[in-house]
Amino acid sequence: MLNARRSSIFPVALATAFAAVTLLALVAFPSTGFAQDGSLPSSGPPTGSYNEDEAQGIDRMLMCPVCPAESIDQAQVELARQMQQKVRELLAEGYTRQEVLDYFEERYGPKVLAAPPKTGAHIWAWVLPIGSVLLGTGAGLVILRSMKRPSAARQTVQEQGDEDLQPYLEEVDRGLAFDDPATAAGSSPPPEEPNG
Amino acid sequence: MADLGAMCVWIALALASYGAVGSVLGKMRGSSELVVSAQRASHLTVLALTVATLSLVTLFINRDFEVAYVAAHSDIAMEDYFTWVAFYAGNEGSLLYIAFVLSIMAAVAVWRAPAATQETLPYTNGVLMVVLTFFLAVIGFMANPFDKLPFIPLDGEGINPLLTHFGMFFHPPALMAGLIAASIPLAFVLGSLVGGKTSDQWLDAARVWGIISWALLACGLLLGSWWAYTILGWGGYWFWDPVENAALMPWLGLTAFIHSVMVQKRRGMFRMWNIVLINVAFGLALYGMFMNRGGSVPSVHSFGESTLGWIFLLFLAVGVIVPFAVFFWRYNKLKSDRDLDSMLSREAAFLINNLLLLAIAFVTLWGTVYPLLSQLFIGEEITLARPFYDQMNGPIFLALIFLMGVGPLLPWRQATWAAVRRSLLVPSIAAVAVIVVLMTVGIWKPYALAGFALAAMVTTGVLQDWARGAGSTAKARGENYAAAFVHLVWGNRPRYGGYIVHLAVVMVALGVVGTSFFNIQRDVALAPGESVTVRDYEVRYLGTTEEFKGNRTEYLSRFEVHKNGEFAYLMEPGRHFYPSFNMASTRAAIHSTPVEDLYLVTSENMADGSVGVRILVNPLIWWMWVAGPVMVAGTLIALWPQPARIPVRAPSLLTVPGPRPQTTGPGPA
Repeated sequence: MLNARRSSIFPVALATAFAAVTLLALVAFPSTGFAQDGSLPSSGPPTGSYNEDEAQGIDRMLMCPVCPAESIDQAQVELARQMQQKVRELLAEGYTRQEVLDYFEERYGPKVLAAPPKTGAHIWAWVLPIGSVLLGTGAGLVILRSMKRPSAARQTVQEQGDEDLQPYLEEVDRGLAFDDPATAAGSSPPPEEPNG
Repeated sequence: MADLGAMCVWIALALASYGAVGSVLGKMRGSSELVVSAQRASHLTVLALTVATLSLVTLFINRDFEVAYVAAHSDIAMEDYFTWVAFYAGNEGSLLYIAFVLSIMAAVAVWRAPAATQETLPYTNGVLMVVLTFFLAVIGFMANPFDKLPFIPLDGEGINPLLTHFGMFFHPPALMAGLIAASIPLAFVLGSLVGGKTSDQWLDAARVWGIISWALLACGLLLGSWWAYTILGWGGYWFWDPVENAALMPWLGLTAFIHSVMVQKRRGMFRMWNIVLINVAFGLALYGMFMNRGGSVPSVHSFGESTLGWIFLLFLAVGVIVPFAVFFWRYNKLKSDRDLDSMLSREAAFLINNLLLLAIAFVTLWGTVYPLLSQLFIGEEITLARPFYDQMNGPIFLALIFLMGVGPLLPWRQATWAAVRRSLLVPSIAAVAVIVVLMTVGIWKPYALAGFALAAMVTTGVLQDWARGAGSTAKARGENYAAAFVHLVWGNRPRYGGYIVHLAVVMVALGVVGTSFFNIQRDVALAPGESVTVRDYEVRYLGTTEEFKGNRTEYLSRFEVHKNGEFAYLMEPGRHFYPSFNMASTRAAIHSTPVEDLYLVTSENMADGSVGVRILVNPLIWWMWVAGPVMVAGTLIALWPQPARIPVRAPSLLTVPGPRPQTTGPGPA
């Protein structure tokens, strides 16, 4: 019985861990997150009085206003180059990352940001998908648990001494891939019908 | 030629609609003559569309600019072999290509259909012909590649320079074929359900075609990334562009399906869930085609602006509603044969894997439609681009890789904690060891550590399983390890093919983690003779040659790379400027090694001979491109037809202690 209880905790624990990692990601790296490439100092030489890696991090968070779905880091047009230049000027003047982003948002509107801030009405862009994913995963796990056979039947399996059964089941899994008599029997075709 | 092509499209449309109506009516009324004739009509669409396709190719080869599509997508200077690309450079040709591929796949699917699906095959064929009819009607009435101009231009507008790349020969066709192939598993499921076959009759056909569609999409995505890496000139390979997402989402849905369908195959469970999954995957594939061909969302792929949006949207709605309606109609008959034994089992791991994959698909879908939603509800258009996807999907992908390491090591039905500990011991040690080693060399980025550790865990898990399997097979058969391993793989192709694909996914993950967290990028302007040092690479600019070639100017810049003070190699990035498009296409110079790529791309050629150049050091990206062939190999092994099994060892199962579920197999037909 102990096993049964522990085993049902496993996926729940996994889902919790996953949720925790997601939230951690949002909390720990609020503005850079997963794509914080280059935003930490690396071995490249600093040019001028600003940090080039920081500038590149900002480049990747600004969309090019005249190109379809490209950041100013990617876009190969003049405006994007000028914006990159401006980012570096502002950094050299002592602007912080957030101030630089605000500067561009003021001039080009919120569309220029590659992702909206996690405040105000924009919070929904972040919270809604996380909420739905957690809800969906939770619902899925509840349904999965409800699929478990009645506990009496499960108990019989448990009592049979898993340790003795285990190597055998492993062997069954390994060698007898599709020999499961329940699926091989009946009117269905032999598995792996050569139809591809 | 144009008239012949147009005529063949109309003939194909007539054949396909007759095929659709005739199959279904014939089956319902029990008229086998009608069914057979509808079947033949369906097969004949292949012939009609082959002629139509060849007509368009001929028109391109002859540069028949009277045809609007040819004038818009080629010019006299275009090399003939680019006809292959020009064919699908716009909406009209892409649709013809899609219809052509669908007609072939439908014919093969119906011809090679497994015995269990024979009875409901007319319905399956009917579904496929409905889809084909839709595409042909759109071609005929709205986007005909054979439409003529009122005059004959002297020269065409030329092919989009971004498309003149080797990757373009395979990336779009693979993706389009993959998207449309998703309709075949759906057609088998839908056909079986409509025909009242509510057990596992569709399973094998849907699995095989699901994997084919999945593999085509995987190849298309990898080739697209490679294309972006070498030609778009910014040194990346994936930007969560709406159209990239459009192909990624159905791929995720199909990944869930081809995993979950194994549970149904082995254990007779998750039947309803699998039907839901294939419906979702098909809906996402339609959505992908809607995004590609409808052009409603801005993207670097906006090659063909068009007004087809609403009609595709309509078809999308039908394509989502009808399969689900059929599903709910048959809902009560779809109960699984068995119950779940334990939450700690491969079945459960498969289901969690499904949920995570759908989670990524949902987040991605959310990001794609959010600009529209925010316009509606907040009144301003908000972009959700790469930072959003990286933050949201990154952790889910890590969880997925974790599951990829654990899931295959769990036995079916029920695992014990002792057994789990036994199979996870070595992989966990490997993961911890990797973390310790990386931290001692100074890598502390949490995501990167997690990524590398999980990669190590999956790899050792797979290798450990191979070694154990080969060991026991060698003992049982008295062979050496190599022969035993071959027998092992050959004896259970789906499983070992799947393992190989898992290793390919690990390779992709290595590339993603390497480039996301450890790349170095410098943008500099260099005059001839000047040099710049990036980490331990010293890059010296020598000069640029310029060459006029008909429709473009080709700049070729030469750089000398010194590493650790010694001359290492020459690199020659190119840049082709097309005045008629006011657009340049770049050819990055890439020195690739398994450890890292040195990547040079010129962004500007100035009058005084100096260049703007972007220099990148991209660690581990080599693995990503190698993953492609590995993935294909694994898929082929998994798909290779397995001969009918001799059930000689089956009786021994009866000696397994404990109640083996005695439920009957898939219900009799």
